[in-house]
Amino acid sequence: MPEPDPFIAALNKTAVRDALLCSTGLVLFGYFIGYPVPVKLAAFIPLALAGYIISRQPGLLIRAAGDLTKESSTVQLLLYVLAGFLMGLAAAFYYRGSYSMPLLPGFFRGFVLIAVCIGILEELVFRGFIQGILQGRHAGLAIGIAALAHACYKAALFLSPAAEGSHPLYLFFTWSLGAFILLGLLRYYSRSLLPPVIVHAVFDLLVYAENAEAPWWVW
Amino acid sequence: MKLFSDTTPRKIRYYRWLPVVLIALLTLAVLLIIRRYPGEKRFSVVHMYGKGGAINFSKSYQLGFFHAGIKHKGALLAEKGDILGFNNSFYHFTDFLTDTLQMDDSGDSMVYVNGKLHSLVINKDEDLLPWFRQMKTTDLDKLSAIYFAAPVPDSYINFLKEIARTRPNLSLVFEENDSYSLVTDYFKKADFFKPRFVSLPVTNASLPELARWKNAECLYINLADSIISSPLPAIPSMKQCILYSDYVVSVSPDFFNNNPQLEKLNLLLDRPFYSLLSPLDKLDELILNNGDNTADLKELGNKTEALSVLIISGKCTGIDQLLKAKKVKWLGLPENTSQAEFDQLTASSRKLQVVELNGNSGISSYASLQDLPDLSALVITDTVTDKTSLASMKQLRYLSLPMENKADSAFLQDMEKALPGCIIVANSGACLGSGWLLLLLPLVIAFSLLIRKKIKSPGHART
Repeated sequence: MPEPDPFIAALNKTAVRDALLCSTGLVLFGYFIGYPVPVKLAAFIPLALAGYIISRQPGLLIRAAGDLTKESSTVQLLLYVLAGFLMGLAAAFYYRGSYSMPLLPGFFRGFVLIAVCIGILEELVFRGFIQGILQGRHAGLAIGIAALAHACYKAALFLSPAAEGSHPLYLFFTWSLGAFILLGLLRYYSRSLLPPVIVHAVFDLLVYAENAEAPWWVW
Repeated sequence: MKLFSDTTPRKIRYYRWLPVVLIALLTLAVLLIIRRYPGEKRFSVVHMYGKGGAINFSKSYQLGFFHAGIKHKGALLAEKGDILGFNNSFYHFTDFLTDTLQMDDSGDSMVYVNGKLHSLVINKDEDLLPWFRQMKTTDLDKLSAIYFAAPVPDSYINFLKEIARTRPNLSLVFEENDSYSLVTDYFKKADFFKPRFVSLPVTNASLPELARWKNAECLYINLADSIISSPLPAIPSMKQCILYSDYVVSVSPDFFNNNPQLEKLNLLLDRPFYSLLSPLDKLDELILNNGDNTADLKELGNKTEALSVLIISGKCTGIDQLLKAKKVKWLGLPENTSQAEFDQLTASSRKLQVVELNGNSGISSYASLQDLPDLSALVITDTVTDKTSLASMKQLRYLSLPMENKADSAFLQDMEKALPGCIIVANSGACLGSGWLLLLLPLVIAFSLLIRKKIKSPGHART
């Protein structure tokens, strides 16, 4: 039986507490950020809490970022990166097709860079930090909790009164959860954060390419 | 299950085949998706600012000008290749990125779009020579059209030749002139251009001359005779044709026989002339403006089955024939459409993205529109008969409503509040998180630095 990663083992005592606190903070942030000012400002308190929790173990986030290139077998990593690219492509094509849009965007606007950055940061936080912090305790649970936290955060964005009824939440939550579990599995089996980052970036790049301005919930 | 234990290099080695299988499966998935969604159309919202009204001639519904979109004045829907109009100016919409147009047609001889020269107007009252003499190549960067309202002065010819060298594919627009053919004058003096779009008056006798526009992808033909007995000559590059006339009473059924390649047809005529459609097997978009006459849609036969855009203005019988248009994505309904017909149409045409309605019709409930998964744009002219349903159509990205009075204006403001997602963009989507999340990174860095400082400061023991 190989030995568990000592760095992760050292985190086990506080891992679950920190993961849950960080997830809760992000979900609360997602819920309040949709409100108008001054309630909107309150959203930054749980965001700061999440930031504080992550900062207490910066090594893990750095590790997650380090994962972007760390892999014993370069060929294996390249294969997973290609799989990530195809996964992002398939998801974006399906999304665009199902909304009767041409599969490939005709052009790219500046906003797409922000969209890609948001996607990458979500991967760093949910697959990198939350899944990473829990992986030492229970890999399956880590994937599940990270996916659940991510899906709850997304759903919370559309729970605010301004968004009422704009999206069928149950379906949105279910699809998101499924997608994030797949991303978690990809991160687990590839032992790298790079493939899920690629999936998210490719998806956002193609879906938001033509947006002249940010959708209302982004800012 | 191995998954529910610590990560180990050994297990990963065991799954070395996994990425290869994933790649194979995902490649298959991508190919299947490409096959499932072939050739979707792309509709954009074009914002036109300036004094006046805007119209998309290629997709005109009741020849209505758009003065008031819900968010932007003069916003209209368009597809690449459409011919847009702003007051008397034409704009060939070919670039999706340029979808905000600040129009300035206040001068008599020049039209500016987004501060750049877009059209030159040749007329009797304005002398363009001073401008021609100091013209630079950079002045012509965005020049897209020449408007002929008078015969070409001989002194202009060399300058026009020079412009043609830089911008050979300029659009050409010829005004109707009862005493003199401006088109004939152009061919005699300044036939230097190879336009992709031409707008011109045509008599029955001058129809054969259209063969000279070999590069035209779109013709806007103003039929100047009441009886048209000749066919259009073959123009192989032509994909789009707009026929306009106030008084034509007869058009030869073989009018389009030499141009079966036509894909987009707009008949801005007082009656439908269905016989013209017979040779057009590649027709993808059809716009019929029936004027004051009542048209019988049964005569359309099966022509609607393959159409992606079908816009019918005026009164019609046989509206149930539109149920055959299963592939239609943009539908403009006749003004006498009943509630039952409307509900049937929305139930059968599930691919609808754009719907245009005349508010004075017998449609009192828009509720069935909520069941259309792809509906993103709605245009209502005249009167809004169902304000309640409208307020709950959260999927809309573009909404154009009538604004005749203060009550309409107040309703527009109510809609802006009720439909916060109705932003005028190509698409939005729900998958992107909040942009404020990006603040997390500087927060983490700031907290990390603070914690490190605290640990290093005297009086704090390492834990």
